Amino acid sequence: MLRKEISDTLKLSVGTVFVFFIVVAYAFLLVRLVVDAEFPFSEFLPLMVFITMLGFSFYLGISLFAEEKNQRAFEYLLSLRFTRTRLLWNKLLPRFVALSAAAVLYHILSLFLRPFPVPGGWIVFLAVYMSLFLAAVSMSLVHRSHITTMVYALALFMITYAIFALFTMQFQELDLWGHAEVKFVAVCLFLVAATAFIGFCLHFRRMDLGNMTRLFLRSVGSAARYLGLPLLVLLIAWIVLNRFDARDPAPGWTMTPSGSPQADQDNGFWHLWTLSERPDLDVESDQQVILKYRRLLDPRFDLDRYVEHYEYWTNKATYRDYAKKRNTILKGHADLLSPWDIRPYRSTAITTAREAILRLRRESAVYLDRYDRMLGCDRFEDLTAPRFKSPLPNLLAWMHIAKLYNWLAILAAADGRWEEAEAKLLAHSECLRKAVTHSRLLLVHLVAKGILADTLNTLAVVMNLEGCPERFFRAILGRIPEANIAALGSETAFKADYLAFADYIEKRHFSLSDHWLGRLLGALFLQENRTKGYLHRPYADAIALEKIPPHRWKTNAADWGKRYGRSRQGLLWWIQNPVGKSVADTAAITNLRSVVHKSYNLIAIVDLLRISAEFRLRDDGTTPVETLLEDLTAYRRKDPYSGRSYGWNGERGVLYSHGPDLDDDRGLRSYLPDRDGDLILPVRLQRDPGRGGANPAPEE
Amino acid sequence: MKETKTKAFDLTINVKSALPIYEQIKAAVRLAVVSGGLKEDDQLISVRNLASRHKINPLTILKAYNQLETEGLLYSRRGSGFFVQRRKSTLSAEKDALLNRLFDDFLRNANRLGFSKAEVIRRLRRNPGRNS
Amino acid sequence: MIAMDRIAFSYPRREIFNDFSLDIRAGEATLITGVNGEGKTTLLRLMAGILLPQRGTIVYDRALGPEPRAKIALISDQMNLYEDMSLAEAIRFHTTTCGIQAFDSPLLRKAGLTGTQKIRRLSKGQKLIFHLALLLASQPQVLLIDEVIHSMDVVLRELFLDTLLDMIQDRRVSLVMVNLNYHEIETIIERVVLIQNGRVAVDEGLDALKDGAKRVDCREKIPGDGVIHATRLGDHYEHIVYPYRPGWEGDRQITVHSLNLHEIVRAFMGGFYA
Repeated sequence: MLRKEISDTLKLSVGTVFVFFIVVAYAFLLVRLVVDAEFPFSEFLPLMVFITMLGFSFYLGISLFAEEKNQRAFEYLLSLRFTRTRLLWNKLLPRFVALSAAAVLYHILSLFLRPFPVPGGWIVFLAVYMSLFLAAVSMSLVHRSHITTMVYALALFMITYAIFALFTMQFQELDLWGHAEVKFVAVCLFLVAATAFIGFCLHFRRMDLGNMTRLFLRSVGSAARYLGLPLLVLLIAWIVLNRFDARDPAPGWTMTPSGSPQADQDNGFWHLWTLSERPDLDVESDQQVILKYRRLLDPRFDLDRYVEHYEYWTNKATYRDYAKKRNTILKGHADLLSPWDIRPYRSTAITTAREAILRLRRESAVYLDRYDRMLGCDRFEDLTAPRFKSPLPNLLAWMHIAKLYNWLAILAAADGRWEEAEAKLLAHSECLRKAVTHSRLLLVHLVAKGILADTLNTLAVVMNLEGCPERFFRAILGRIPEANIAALGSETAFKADYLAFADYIEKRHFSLSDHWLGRLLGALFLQENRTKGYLHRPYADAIALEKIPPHRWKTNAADWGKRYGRSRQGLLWWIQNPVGKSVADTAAITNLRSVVHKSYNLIAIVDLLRISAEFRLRDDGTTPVETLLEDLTAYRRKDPYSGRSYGWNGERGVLYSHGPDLDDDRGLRSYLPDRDGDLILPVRLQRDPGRGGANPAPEE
Repeated sequence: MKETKTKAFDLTINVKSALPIYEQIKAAVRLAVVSGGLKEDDQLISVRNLASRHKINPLTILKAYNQLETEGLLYSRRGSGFFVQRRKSTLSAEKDALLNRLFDDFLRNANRLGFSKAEVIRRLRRNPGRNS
Repeated sequence: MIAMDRIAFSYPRREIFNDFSLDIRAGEATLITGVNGEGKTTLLRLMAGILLPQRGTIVYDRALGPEPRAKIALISDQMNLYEDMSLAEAIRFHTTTCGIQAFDSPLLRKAGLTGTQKIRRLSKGQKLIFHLALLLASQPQVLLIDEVIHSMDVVLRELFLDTLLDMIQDRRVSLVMVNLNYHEIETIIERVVLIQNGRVAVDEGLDALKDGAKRVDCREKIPGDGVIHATRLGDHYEHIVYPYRPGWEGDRQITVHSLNLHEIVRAFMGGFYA
């Protein structure tokens, strides 16, 4: 009997291959004619092979008793001397072998014909492939007529697919594949099909020749009893398990949206928010404008609804005209164009662009005026609410105007108006220091830091200008205090960012909630506190990390990605809080380590600036630089990146810190201090080339 | 299967008879022997052939033959079959018995028709020629 | 040979047997009969192992060997072979499946069936002869025959019955026949089993049955035990009595007649339809 079954299976397999070739040829021609004349065969073929594999598996299963049905030889088959179990085994064995052989060939094909994508990956494919066969086998006796059987089976599979698609919530998206949920569901599908199959085999032993549909229904009944019940129990246990949430990971991290309900014009941040309002508006008296920001501040106001109406983008639209003008004016001065660039300046770049800068000043009069008022404030309280979809101030405008402000200071110094430059720059840096300390959301905080760095670099440039007076250096030492993490650290910003994420989770802002099934799954399988915990961890670790100077850090920068990468790790990630983990993985958290670096970079620059200022004050022109440095108070500060004193490279004329790469590159300028090189501050020394130490013009 | 040496005997199976089939076979053999259709040492038609001819269960035929053998009418030789026994003396007894049985049947049937025994005898005397 | 003990079997919507017991003895030719739909075919299928009883046991005699089912052959007019096969292919399939080494069938030669014909092209009778030839190759010890004779023409019928008789004589095969036409097989069977309401109503040797079942004619209607069936015919009553013993009628005036199998069974089944 086995021989007959083997030959039947072979005939079927060969037949499938034959049909496949024909269908592929015709279908491809059709596609080329109707859909897209350029459609590449290399894309068409993998899909066709995939479909054929699944169809083959299905047909192999459903045709298990095709010969007996067509020739009504069932009773004869049963009259042979085999037990029913042996009979079934004889039938199934060749088909299992054919199935495996086909899968192996498919794999080999996919290796040879690259690219040859397997939709969903191998796990999903094998699960679905085997499920189709097993389910088809268990339905192979549903009806005497082969056609009817196949119709029933196909209908069932359509229903199953619909449920499958609904469950994975990718109903609209064609990019169904590759997600872990799909793998999970595919494996579940396999379990169900396997149980129906086992039920079929068990009942085949006692089958009668009468009503064959009974056999299938009985096997489904078995599946329901032997698998369904335990699965139901497991499902309930799974849901119950996901009811037990963790504690709030950061109960102490709270921030009220903002301070007083009144529009607070003593608050520097108020001026920052209003900076980019339309130039023709008087932001301090116009009631519309005031009301707009009052609503942001008022904790009683329903910010959730308001956010939808906030004229966030209108603001940007009006500002865009100015931005265009700026680009036109600054065309040709590549160094100045980019607002993001905070590399140390070349003074010559500024002085040669004088014309353009002054023209820009005229265009920016209103903005500069508003900015002055911001610098005049003592109080800085950030209005940005730590919540999802929080409105932000126009940070681009801030960068534009701040830079312009600094360039004007350089020009003033170059013209000899040292007091003006001093006043401007030191006021700016003080204001920015407060902004850094009191800013909330990470983005705002980072921009503040960037502009502060820019300002400090500007101070360094001015210091190196010919004729810089002593009082300038004194002013620096006086008004720029020693930097520390308490003032320049990102703790508040980290907490605010975390709270924004927490709000994201609590208010279910993620895209899952667009679909009713997503909402249901969110209700069952999302544990708020636990999910917040995943997001809390990197921030808490970053805050702790920041308190330690980088030279004492133990772990490598590359580990950050691994440690705080996917929450969905390990084979059993889905057991606890699966929706929460999926959502957490979609919430991109920036590399917080580099944020911490920025804090220490700033500290290093402040230190270097102060060292430089003190040095210039105490320099008598003859003492060797190294000796002089040892004497300086400012020099006693340790480089956070080396744990030792800052470096001095006499040949290059630079004071430097080792930078985030922690290596002593002897003052090699780097634009990417994370990777290589050092943070440097060029120092001009007024020395005779002939006496004591090399004294070239500082590297710019 | 062609048998050249065996001899058949008249056999008509009556399924409505009160006699079982093996008894009917026995009666037919007896009749054949008594009437001379089967002579001494004649080999009887084989069980197989007889069975095939009349579609009778061979075991039934074998039972009949065996009983006849026990009764002394036949003897069997291993591998060859059944033969008629040489028993001249019993033949007349058989004939007698057969005739008695015929009388019994006859009288019983006449009784059914309503004729008494006396009437039957009177008829017999009156029309002897009819009965030949 | 086959001992069925308290079998229960039902189809999805119909119960056939509830508490059924029957023994098939070695070398005995049995007739199974009963009203249509009583489960005669089902019974044969149960004996052959095609169907499995839901309760009760079927015990096969040790004489059937380690694989009893191989020694039990069922031939049925409802059973189809793989009709797309040719005779040669079917022979090859059957012999390799049943582990038969050599296949030589004088029966096939006599029936004029050659190897290249497709089974589909044969007449019903020829298919049955062919199936019988296949079954014989395994030297079965029990042959179950389900209503096949009526499908055969005279020649094939003769061939078939001769084969049965040879099997009985040569190997003491047990025959179990389901046949509704008693004339054909009345002289072959030894035992009659009548099934009624899922139970054995009558289980007697044929000779005993015929000996005991008589038709008793009387002017009056005779009540009493043993009257299976009574009809009025003209001026007298006909009673089918079983078992009839002389003196049963008391002092009434009666005539007694013997019956053939058809009449006996008819009388038993008459009660069913009435």
